[in-house]
Amino acid sequence: MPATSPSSSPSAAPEAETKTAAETETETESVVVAGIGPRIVAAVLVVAGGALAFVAWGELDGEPLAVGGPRFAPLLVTVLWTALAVVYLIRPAPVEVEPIGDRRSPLLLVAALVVYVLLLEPAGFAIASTLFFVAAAWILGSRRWLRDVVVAVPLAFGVYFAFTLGLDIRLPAGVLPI
Amino acid sequence: MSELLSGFATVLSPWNLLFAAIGVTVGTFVGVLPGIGPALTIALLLPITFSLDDPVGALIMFAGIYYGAMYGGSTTSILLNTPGESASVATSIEGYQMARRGRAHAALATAAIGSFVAGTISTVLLTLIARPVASLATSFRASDYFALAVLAMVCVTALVGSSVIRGLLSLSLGLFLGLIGIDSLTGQSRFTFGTLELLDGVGIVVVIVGLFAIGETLHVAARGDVPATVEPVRPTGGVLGWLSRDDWRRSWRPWLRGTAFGFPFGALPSGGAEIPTFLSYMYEKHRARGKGEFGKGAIEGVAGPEAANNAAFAGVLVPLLTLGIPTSATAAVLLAAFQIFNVQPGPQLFERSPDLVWALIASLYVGNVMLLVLNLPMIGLWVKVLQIPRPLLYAGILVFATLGVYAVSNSVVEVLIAYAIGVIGFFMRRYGFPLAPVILGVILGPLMEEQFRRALQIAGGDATVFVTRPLTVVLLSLAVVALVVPYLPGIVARSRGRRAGKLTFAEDD
Amino acid sequence: MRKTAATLVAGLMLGVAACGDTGGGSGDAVDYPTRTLQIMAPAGAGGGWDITARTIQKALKDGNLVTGSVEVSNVTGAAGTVGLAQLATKHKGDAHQLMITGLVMVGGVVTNKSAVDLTQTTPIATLTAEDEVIVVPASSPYQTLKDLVEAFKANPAGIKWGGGSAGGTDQILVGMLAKAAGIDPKQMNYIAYSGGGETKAGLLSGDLTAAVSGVGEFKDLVAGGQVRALAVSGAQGIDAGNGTPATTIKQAGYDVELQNWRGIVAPPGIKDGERAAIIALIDRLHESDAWKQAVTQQGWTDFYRSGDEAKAFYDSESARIRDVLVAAGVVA
Repeated sequence: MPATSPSSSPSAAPEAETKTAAETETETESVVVAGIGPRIVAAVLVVAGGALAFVAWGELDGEPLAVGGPRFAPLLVTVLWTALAVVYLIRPAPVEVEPIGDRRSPLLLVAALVVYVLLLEPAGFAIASTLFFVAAAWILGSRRWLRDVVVAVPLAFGVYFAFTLGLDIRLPAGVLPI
Repeated sequence: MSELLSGFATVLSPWNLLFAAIGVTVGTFVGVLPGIGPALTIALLLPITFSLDDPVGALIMFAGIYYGAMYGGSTTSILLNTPGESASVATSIEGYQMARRGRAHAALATAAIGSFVAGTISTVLLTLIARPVASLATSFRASDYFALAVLAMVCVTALVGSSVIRGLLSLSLGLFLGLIGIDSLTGQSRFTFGTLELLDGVGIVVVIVGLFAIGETLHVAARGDVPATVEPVRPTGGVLGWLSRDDWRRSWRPWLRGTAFGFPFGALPSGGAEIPTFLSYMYEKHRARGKGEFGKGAIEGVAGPEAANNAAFAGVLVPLLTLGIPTSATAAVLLAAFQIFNVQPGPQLFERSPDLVWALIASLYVGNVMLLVLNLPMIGLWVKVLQIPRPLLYAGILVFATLGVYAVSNSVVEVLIAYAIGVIGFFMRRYGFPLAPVILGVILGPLMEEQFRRALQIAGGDATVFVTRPLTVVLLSLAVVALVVPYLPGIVARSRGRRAGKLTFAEDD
Repeated sequence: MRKTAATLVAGLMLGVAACGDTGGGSGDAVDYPTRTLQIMAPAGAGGGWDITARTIQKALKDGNLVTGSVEVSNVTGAAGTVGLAQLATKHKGDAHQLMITGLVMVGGVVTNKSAVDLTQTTPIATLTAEDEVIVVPASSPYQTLKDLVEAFKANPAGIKWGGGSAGGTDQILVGMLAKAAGIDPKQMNYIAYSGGGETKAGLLSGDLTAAVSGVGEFKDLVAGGQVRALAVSGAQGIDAGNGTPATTIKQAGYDVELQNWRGIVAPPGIKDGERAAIIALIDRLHESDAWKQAVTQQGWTDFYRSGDEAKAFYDSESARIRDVLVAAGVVA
């Protein structure tokens, strides 16, 4: 694959030093993953596709399968999905990915998001958003608490009032008497 | 013509110009927010306009909102790879690559000017040929729509990217997402797992917000070592500041071609703005074959789709004004607005309320100019968005993404669905699965299935309907041709005994 | 009794939230609303339910019927049944949370097998209604509804009916018509479209024999001569576009009457005093000039029943619509 050929791995090429910051950033060295990763993905896809095809079959509920009926397309799509996934499992095409720098952050972000949306109604949009914003900025590498809070509070409250007063979209007020 | 002039006379009052300016500004703002598009904004502003005596001001504002929102949507697609509307997905493919290479100014400028050019040309077309286009558009039957959807699907399959198998898997995911919910023809539920929330299906907004805004942020988080900001390359001057002579040379044809895709598709009932943007992208990519710049920020890939989505709006107005048929969510809301002002769009509209129609058409011209005047100078400001420290920028994107989904549905479950799709989007990015085919599947899949079954139902189950109706046959034949053509050079070359580089659909990089 | 309960609630709110707004109840027997009134439109912004909710919001404020604020929220999904489920669970007993409803939701409850149905809410009133119209293309051989139904009888699958989504008002009407004409509704060939606009396109392109939709949808095409209105579905013949009142289905000889109505309900589990107060408020809304003006502007037909009369109507519609949908084979 191209990533190993000299022409398309510019960060290894001598002229890399003359590149602008923007260009270097985009062309961080890619690695070819041919190992276990794509196979795990393929295996997950096979299982998911198979399960969905099973659901689609179950939804038939004993009726005969008609091309013009509502049950044909779900079976067609899920069976096709499963078949493609099986092919991919047997012969996963090599893939270029940027090296993973941080495994923890995406996980933490997802957890923060879930907490955020669950807090949205009980705590209210403004408070939940302020907390989430600061937490997310921290996860993403910011270590300047004060600045983040100073940005988060006006952002969250500003959006809240712009939506509820300006656009007449109701957002949860939560615990605040606003 | 004199009618149009009197339309301009109505529109060009300071008061109405103010409405246009407000509309464009509000529209750009909501367009930037993921998930909150022009349809929702106009719907929310409707009650405010109840109290206006003169509908012209409101209509002018609505036209401004639409154009503004379309442009605002492309701004985030280009700068952050987080399109908020389905019509901006095609733009993000090349636009974001341009921004990553410091060419954000040029990308935004070609989008703004392209939108203006396309908007103006298509408004002229609306002015001149609304009636004949409308009667042509309503001659499309269910079988023709099915054939058209097949043709569109075949033409844009090349979006599958560098690996055919991964592209097709992405497409399957999109097709599956499109199937969730109540079947529109029979009312049967599919893949709803017994929940009420899934009965209406997974909205395209939820898919886009999840796949792009959430997925991109998780991806950025995983990269870990990203630099704090991207320093845009300073524009070197040129005609309007942001576009170089070379950019102009490369942009103007895609603008015109994008318009040619956008207007007719917009005019078709069940056409819309998304399909022409993808078609335009594919066509530009096809033409640029061999130059190797596509995938690395080719300006043609921004100019074309942006022109197409703006041109589609004037197209959408054709069936709306002449027959009262709304073909997009925004058009449906505009129809409601007309009815509130006691104006019933339809064949009588041009005779009964000529003032209003021509004022609306004139306001489209004005809205277009306003968009250009307000947004070109703003480009410098938009690009500054990239200088916001990354942690804050992406934390903000997540807040707005959540807000966008929640504000539309008022449902925590929908937000969780968007997050789940975001996680899928993250893994797709990591393992090289292209994202555009998912959107394509969600949009084209239901269209194909619905029209196929409807055509069968109308024909009483007789499948020969697909080979007996001339228009259907022509469209299906074109689809076959489109499928075969890319392989022809190879076949021809082989038959001449030479080995030619095989040109496949999956050609990339 | 009623007064004490309301005053108690008001006092409680004042004490707890310290944002006292006790409404303009001076002189009236009731004190409602005592805080922000929430009206849920169980569909997206811009649709009929949403516009109804926002019109009520505006009329309540313009007519000075409430002094506190009125908020509209949209809960989208499944013909309103997602909103209905929320009203019955999350908002149970909350008299300040009202919801817009209508015939479409009655059908949605049946087709979506919703666990909650409208009889579990506290009906307040019905507000407006729109007639349905049956149209054929101008070139159609069918001049009257009788012609069309005779052909329908002779070959039930040969008539291609088009209208809105499966299980919706339009299909319900065709089902009722079939039943009244002695045709098994299961045999009808009903082609569902996602809205009036698409139905229109289907009729004009020649895909459909006849189309069913709200009267407003086809008015302009009828006036322009592209389509012919055969009958309207209400009790009286109204103008379907060509200037003269169209015949009703009943006048054409089939015992069918159906209107696409909209109304307003409160959550289950509210106190009797609260129910009476809400009914009184909506009664005053209905009498207000602001509301009357809005109804005229929107082109709605007044269809007002409140209190017990509304409850009886909700119950009878629920039963009747279920029967039709079962007969048409939309649900088992």
